[in-house]
Amino acid sequence: MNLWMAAILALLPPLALATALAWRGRPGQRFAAYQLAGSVTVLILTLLAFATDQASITDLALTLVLLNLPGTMLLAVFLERWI
Amino acid sequence: MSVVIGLFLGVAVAVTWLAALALWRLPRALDRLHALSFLNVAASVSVTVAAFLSDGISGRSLKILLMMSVYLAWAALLSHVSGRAVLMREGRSA
Repeated sequence: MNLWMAAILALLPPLALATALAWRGRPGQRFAAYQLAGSVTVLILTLLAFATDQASITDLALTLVLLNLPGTMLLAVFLERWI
Repeated sequence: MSVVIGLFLGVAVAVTWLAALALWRLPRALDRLHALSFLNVAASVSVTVAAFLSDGISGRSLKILLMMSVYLAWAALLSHVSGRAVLMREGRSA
């Protein structure tokens, strides 16, 4: 196991915690947990590109970053008005 | 060199754990968003530095630099959007 894979494994419990926090609580608290899950996933995908030496995985992280803006803004509008 | 890379990866992991625990323990949604912003800044810088230490200047490390720069800019925007939405939804008690 290399350094990158060890870091990925160490990031899995915070991702699980973010998922659990998004499952319960008030809408604002769940919204923050959803964003934490997105941030941790971006980190994991970036590290995975180094751990597996597959440069194409970086494109997955880049795609997630690019989709994060419209997705979160849409969810914020829903939270503001309807949820 | 791998010790330095491990140090930066360790910082990224520690910051992520800290932010996750803060989101668990802090009662207000706005406080949680502050912890999230700390994670976005500290972890993305650490991972980018680790990538450059590992690869030098390469296509992959430059792509990660671009990605993290975009991510940081958008994270700042999304923090304000999220904070505004939470304030309008839950009021001053958020």
